[in-house]
Amino acid sequence: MENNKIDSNLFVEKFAEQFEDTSADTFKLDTIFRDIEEWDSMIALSIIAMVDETFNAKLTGEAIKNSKTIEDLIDKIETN
Amino acid sequence: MNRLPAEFEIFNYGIFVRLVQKSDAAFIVNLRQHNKKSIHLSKISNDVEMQEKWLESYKIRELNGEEYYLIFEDDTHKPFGLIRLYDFVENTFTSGSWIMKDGIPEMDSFKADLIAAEIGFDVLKFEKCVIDVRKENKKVVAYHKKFFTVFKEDEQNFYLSMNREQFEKKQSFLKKII
Repeated sequence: MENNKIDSNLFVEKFAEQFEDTSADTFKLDTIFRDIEEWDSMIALSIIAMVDETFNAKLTGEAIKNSKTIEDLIDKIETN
Repeated sequence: MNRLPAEFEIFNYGIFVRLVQKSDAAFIVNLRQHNKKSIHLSKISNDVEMQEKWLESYKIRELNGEEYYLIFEDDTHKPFGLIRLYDFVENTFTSGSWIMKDGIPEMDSFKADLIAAEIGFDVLKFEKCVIDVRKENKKVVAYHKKFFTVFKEDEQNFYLSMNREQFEKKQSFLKKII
């Protein structure tokens, strides 16, 4: 999708919803998601599904691999 | 069903897979002891010698085409995960003991899972895969329910099956994202 502008607040909210044991307050645009104890490959997959379902956009495993923060993910989606 | 040769090794999706060897015992014990997800797997001995003995008996089952224990390695041949294919009954196989090192690239777990399914369906020529997953392992349950059908459950586990059509959907989905 070209020039897919993502609502960053909604993205952070939906990103946080993929975690069961981590407080939503933890998540900000500059959060380094791999530093979160609960982060794992299953959550990565659920983020990919969430991006597809909520934003009708594509996020690949490679894009996640090359991202550090939640904002990086948004950038990758917007420039995909 | 077909059989895998003892020297079986493939490279796909950027990772290697081969059959485990007795010399992998220390890696297996270390992975099962220190991985935070191993609480959802059956307990194994923390003794490397015991693991070597288990692998010796496994190698006989492997030779008989009864079971295959797959070890996944990155592109530098550093091992990072395990999946076991077993309970070969008629046209059905079980995939289990899926465990990966913590901190590996996120998609490597799914690459390994996909390769194991491809070996089951496309190389060994089975027609159905069954798995059992601990109910408390909620994220893994959610993942498998995308592709498998629950055919039984008890207090502790879901029992799920995947036919070739479901496998091909899974393959198509994962190939797009890994």
